[in-house]
Amino acid sequence: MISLIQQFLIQTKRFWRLAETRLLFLALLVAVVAVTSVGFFTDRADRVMNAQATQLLGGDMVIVSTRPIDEAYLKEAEQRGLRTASTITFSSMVSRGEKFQLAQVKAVSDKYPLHGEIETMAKSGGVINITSIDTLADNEIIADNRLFVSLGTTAGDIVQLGQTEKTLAKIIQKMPDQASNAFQFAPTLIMPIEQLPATGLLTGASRASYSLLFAGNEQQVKSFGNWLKPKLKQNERIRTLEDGMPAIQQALQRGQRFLKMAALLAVILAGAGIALSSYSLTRHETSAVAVLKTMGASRWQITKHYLFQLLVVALIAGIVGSLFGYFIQFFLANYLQDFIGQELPSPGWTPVWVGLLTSQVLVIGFSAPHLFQLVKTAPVQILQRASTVSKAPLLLPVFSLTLSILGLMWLQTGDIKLSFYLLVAVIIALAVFWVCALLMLKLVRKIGERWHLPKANRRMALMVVVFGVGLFSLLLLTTLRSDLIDRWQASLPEGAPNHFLINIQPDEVKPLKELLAKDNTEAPIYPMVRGRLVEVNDKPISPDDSKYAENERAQRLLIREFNLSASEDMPEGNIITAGKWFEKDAQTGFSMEQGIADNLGVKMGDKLTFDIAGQRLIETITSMRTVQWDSMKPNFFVLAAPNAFENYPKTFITSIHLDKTKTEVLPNLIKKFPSVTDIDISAILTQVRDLINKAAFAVQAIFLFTLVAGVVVLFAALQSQKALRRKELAILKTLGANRAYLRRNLILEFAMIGGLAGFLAAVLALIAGNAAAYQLFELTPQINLGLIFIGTALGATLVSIAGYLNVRGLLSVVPVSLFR
Amino acid sequence: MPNNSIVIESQNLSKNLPVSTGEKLHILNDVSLVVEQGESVAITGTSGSGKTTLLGLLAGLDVPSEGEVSLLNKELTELDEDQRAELRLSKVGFVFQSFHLMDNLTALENVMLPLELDRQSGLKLTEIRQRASEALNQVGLGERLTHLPTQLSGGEQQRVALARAFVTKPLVLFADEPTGNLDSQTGDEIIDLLFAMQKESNTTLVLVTHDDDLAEKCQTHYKLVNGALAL
Repeated sequence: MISLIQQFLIQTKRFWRLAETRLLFLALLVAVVAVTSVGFFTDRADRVMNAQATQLLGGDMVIVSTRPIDEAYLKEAEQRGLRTASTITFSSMVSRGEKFQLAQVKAVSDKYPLHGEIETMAKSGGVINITSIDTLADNEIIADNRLFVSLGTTAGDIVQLGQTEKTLAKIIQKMPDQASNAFQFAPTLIMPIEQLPATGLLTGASRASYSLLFAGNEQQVKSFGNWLKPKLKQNERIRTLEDGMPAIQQALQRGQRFLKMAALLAVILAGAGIALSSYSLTRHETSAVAVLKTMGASRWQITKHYLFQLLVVALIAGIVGSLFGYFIQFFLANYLQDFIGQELPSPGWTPVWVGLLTSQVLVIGFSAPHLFQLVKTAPVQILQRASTVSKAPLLLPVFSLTLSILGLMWLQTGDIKLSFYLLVAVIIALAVFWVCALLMLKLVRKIGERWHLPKANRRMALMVVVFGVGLFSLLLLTTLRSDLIDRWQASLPEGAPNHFLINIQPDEVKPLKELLAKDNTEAPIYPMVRGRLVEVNDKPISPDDSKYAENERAQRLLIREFNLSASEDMPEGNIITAGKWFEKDAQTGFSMEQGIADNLGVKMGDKLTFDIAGQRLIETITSMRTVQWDSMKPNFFVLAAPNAFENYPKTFITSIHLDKTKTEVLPNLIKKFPSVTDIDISAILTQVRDLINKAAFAVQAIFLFTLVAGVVVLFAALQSQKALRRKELAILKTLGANRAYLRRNLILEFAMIGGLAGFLAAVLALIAGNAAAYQLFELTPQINLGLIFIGTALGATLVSIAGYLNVRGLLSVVPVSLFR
Repeated sequence: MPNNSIVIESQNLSKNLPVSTGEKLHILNDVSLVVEQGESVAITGTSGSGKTTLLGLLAGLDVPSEGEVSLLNKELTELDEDQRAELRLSKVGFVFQSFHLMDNLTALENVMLPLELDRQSGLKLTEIRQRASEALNQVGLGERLTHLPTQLSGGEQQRVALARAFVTKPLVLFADEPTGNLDSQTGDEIIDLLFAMQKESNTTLVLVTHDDDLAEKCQTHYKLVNGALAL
């Protein structure tokens, strides 16, 4: 008896000798490499992000509320073996002598934080230690350096907090959930929760945020979450890891999703290569199947034989592809290190499974319909002079392909709804490409009739589509990567502000204005007050209200605090859409940005109540405005009357343009006003551009796989018509065509396919790029003829080289072969 | 009581094909014949006379429109495709005009194939290899075991096909125009080899050809005229 291993080795060796098998393998390999290289990288980045997010949250799960939270939750969690901590956060003034500073006070229990650590220093720039809350003495508190600077204190000094005196023991260097509050201007102060009652700061009317933190293993957290959810009161919300992610991480996550989709595109195009190779394989093997049947092979034996071989090819492609993917992801990870900002964990095994599954799904989904047809081959066909492949019903392949593409999309995105949308988008995009390709091929054929151009057929259209899609993705990203940001920057007026100055104290406004006037960099300075919208027309408003159920933006706005400001003159670039701007010295009224008003469902004449550090500001909307957000100047959703914030704690903000030549202005300013924070917009812009460049380049690198997939499809298409082409060339040679003529014709054919694909890709990339430019920055469309030229030339060159290399062997066909 | 010496028997065998006008095209009409163990039978006729169709029906590669046909004492019309295939396994060999070797398999592997398919034979891989190389030796290709079909001449390819057909020591061999793609000298060599092997293994031979000289070498000669048999 032949052992299974012997059988495996023998059959695989034999199957491998078929050119179609090798092409099938190549197509599968491209798909697996694309999926695994992205998979390994995103898996590593995900794990870092999750670890970071739990640290930022301070626990695995957090409940937040504006009211004290039921202690029963803590007891239940502890009974379930979870670790717990609680915090209460609110704003309060801290003073030392004549100096006052608004601080974000965070009263925390002993075990805080459950994840991550509080790093402290005895003095600014000193040695960093880990501080746990239970080591703080009875009246000791810790705070970040800004509080020390603004109060002019050093560690060990006494400050007044509410009714108590506290010792500012240490400077906080780093603490959990610090990053999520990057735009919180008040310095943070941490105190043990037991000290809170004595301060007298927390009364029933106080505006505070209460949190309970929980940590445990995934199962414990999940089961506790299930127990907890139905018990939550209206104002209690669960914060999960995703909430703990700051914007840059969310951007990275979106980027990862984009990378995965780019890989998916390569997979779908490789799928075309797989379908074509399988089709060729079926045609090639038809007579083999008929012979096997004459020898006594049953249908099941034949099905098993081919299915086994296909799965083995897929398995090998899965393993080899995962290995390639593993090495390629190191380049990706190195390149995108800036995004992640820290060491990545070593790659896990998940992407390997995904890669193996992808290749199996591809081979089953894209080859199985052909296999079923192959098995149906009647043995009697072997006696007929021309063996034919039995006609397949269209429904099975279409169903099988759609289902497998959907499955792969689901595997990549983990979101079935998104996968459906993607599938529809892909079908529409491919249909657009397909129709355009057919029309163009017909047109070229008509124009070039007298030059005997090759006749346009479906296979040619398929090659134009596949190459077109590959080139389109590359060209579109090239456009977006540099062109878009350059054009947007060029659209900014000369002298647009490039620095924001924030955290300006009230007593610094006048001298700062004078200083800026001296340097000819005067700009309006706006007060800034943080307030939470709590009532509309005297009715309490909450993110949980049913009218905001589907409106995430409104929910976010109601959870967070608004930056409110007041101004005598309407800020430049704002346009009134309803009502009137404030009269001089007006004390009442709100001017609201139109978009935010629409989002919150408020209108002219509505009465809004803002809670500003416990004080309530109630005004009516007297005007609506549109705002030019990319003006690089301070812009506000809500502006109050010029003198509305006289009696409220506030800081000030301005934006200035600093000429590169005036290098001394900023150091002088910071020296004179140490508490003022400078935000260098041009540096941020450069950083953003750098990040976008890198991200786009990484995505482009993945899109290169789509181009490789295109080459595989080209090879597969050429393979399937090799016999016919050989015959054609032999006939032409018999009629007197020489090698040079045939070579020229072949190259011309490939150049036409590639050129058309490139042209189509460039035109569609131009349309899509301009649409994006208009949507994002309202830039006027531009026709970049260079892109069309580059696209056409790139396509023609690539396809000519790849195509010619594949069929050049046929040029040596001898005409006498026709008689054999 | 089945007659053990009868290997193939057909009664009133007909084959019709529907044509686009809705009518039927009669390819074979009422063909009845008997072939005995070890007998060599030639079926001749002009192009389109239905000889290849008859071969396909006798071998169980196709099903008749009417009539009955038995192969190795099994009524083929009562068997489905897989049962007919099982009947052929190791007991029936074929030689085709276009050789029909697997072009991704070497000469040796092509000959090994029918033995590998027969799992019930219980042969080990080394035994299969041994028997296949013996068969190739027998047809004079002992030195070309590892050659792919594309590296062999037409005559050599047909020799490999003969080795493949005889390696299982089949009870019946069907040959469809075995010399049709060969020059006359090579064709003669192949035919000599075919008859020598047939005699040696006492295999029943059913040979379809348009070559009357070749047909005369067989013990029985049937002629097909417009789908009907004439001795």
